[in-house]
Amino acid sequence: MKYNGKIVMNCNEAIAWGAMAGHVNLVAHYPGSPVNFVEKHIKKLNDRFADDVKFNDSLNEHVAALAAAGASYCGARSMVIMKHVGLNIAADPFNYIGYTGVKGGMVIIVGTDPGANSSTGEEDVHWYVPQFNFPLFEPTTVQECYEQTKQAFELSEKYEIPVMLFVPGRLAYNNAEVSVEIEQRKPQTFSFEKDRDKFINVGQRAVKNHKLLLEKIDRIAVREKHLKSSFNEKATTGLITRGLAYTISCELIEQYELQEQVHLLNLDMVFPLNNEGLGDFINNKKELIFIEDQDGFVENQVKMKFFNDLNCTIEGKNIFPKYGEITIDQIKSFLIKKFDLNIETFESIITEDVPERLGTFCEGCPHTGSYYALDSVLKEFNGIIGGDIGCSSLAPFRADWLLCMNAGIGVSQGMAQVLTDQPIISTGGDGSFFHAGSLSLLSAIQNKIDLIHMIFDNSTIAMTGHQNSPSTSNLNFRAYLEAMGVDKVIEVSPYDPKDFIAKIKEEMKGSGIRVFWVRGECVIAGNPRIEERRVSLYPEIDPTKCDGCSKCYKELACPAIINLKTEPDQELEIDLNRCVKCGVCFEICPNDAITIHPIS
Amino acid sequence: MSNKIINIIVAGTGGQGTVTLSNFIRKLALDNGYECEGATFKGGAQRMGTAYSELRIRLKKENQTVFSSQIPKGEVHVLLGLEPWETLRFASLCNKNTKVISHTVEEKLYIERINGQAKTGAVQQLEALFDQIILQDFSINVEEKINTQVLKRALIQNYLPFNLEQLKQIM
Repeated sequence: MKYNGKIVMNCNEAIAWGAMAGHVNLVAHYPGSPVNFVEKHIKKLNDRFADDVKFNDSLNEHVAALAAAGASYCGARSMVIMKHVGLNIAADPFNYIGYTGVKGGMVIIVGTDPGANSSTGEEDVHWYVPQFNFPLFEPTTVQECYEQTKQAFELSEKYEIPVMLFVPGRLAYNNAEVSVEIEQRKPQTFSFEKDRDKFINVGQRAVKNHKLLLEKIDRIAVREKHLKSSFNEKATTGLITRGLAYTISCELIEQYELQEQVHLLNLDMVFPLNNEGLGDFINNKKELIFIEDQDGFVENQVKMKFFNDLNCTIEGKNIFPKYGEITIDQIKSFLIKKFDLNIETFESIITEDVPERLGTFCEGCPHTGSYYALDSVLKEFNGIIGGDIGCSSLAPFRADWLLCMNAGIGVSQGMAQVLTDQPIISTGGDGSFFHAGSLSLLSAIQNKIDLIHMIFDNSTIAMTGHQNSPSTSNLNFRAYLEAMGVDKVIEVSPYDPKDFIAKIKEEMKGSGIRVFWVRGECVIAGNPRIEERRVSLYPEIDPTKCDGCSKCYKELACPAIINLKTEPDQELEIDLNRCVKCGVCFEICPNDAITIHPIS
Repeated sequence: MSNKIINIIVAGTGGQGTVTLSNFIRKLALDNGYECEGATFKGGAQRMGTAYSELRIRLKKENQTVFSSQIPKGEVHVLLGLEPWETLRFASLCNKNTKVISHTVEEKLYIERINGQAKTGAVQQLEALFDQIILQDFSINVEEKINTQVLKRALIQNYLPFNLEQLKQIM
């Protein structure tokens, strides 16, 4: 035994502990909230306990899925981690990995986001699961994140099938005390055994393997019973939950003393539904109520599977909304109405709406200078800025859309093909570029589209916690872009806005594929040069020269430039606690009111 | 001793120490025989966005069922705010008897840079909403971080079931 104890941790850490306890050998991932720190925690635990786990910092989820499958085909235990929107990218291989089956346990961690707290959408990815035909676990607590991860490896290996774990944002960021245990690892070697019947799926062989997969999932439905039954088994009112709806329901049932009146079933394994467990539960029920978030996946599955055996009423999505998180208030209202409870309710306070805090780029962020340059040129033409996923599109009212990975150059090239009078410049970070943006760029090159694209190269995937991108290790971007067939590569610094603006203006007169390679490191990535600059320089605004033009405050919108008065009055000052001395405000001030001195 | 769940919200903006303050409360709870549920939300922006934690603590007892990490509307017992607009933002989850401590220095909402109109008056609104509210400019004491001062004040007021000595042990 290497470790055995109780530790306070969040769900990302609990999954990491589960992976180590489950003897993971390879971790492939593409970072995405709310599971963006699982891989980092596995790396830490690997340093502490094993030092033999291999990592694949994949460039997108499709690659990650295939890499994990590859390791698993050789008998290694693999884990692949992504957020819900990443599952769209990985769906292609997942549709077929079930046909081949796996040898080493393969676990797929997906961070879901009902309520879209850290995503551009709250897509319900449950619908992929019956298409992939992979078993799916949904933990209800942080402890279960650890346990079910471990269990998923065992199940995967037992049935030679990938097993999924869905973790919603609220649980992913939850902290609790977790009992964990890590055993001594034994050295392992792996081998790939050739098997054409399994691995070459085409025509009738694919159909045969599809049939075998369906039979396997049916076997799992019969043999694997992963559910929790609580309260009165004889009650004729049955509540069925999955995920966080379980903990809410338990709390309220106890609080309202409904233990005798209801029978609660939580599905730890949400797919496939266990025939016996669910059949027994449904048997004596006069009514079934499904309490779950999003589209009502379980309700739908039960209706399909038990259609001929259901002699009870069913409610679910006629009560609980299909959008947003399922809330304790919704379940509370339902129970109060359903059981006609006389509950003391708290009159909540009514306030006027507090405006949403818009958020900004960080002080000294290279995107601040880039957007200043873009806005300065495009605003007079009603020009369009194509936004992409990542920090660069987060600041409000800068990019013109924020959709999905690769939407910057993807959407822009279609627009560029049909617009004649509106200039368009697409943008995207280096992370997004290598995720799928480079293929879009290649597509634009192949289709000879006139387009200006900006790659904001900050040498990291900043937004999700500074994971590596290919540009982290000094990739020669110019050579890469030229080899792709880009007509012109223009290297610029976001900290030299005058030069940046001049070059945009020049390129707007040109044609062909023109790519700006915007080089500026992420300011919060811990670069020692940035820190050195921060402590050696002293900037200030001379109030006698400042005429209140607001270029630094509103157009550059640097958060370190602050207004000492209340709008519409204005007296600007540089907040030295925030300023990182990047010098862009100094560069753009038309009145030479900003000076930067060395600290002697 | 009562086995009631105590609902706590810690609200602030990115970089103010919301997570640290929440972690102190969580540690105090776990070290003193309580269970703790709750999550921290930081939004998408790296800087100056809303950051808040929902915490729920309950005395540990044998054979208790699980409880949720969500706080029902109107049932916040203690609201600790590191910025008055953020304190006000979560007032709708509170009731008149919620115990509130808030730092009073307003951080601009950033929208004023776009529309040129600053929004003011969060402190006055807070004052009118709650019966038990402590509004104070904690930045006057430069010796100690604002988040630590707010927590200490909550302990001195007996708003949380822990004391300063217990806090000292975990800091």
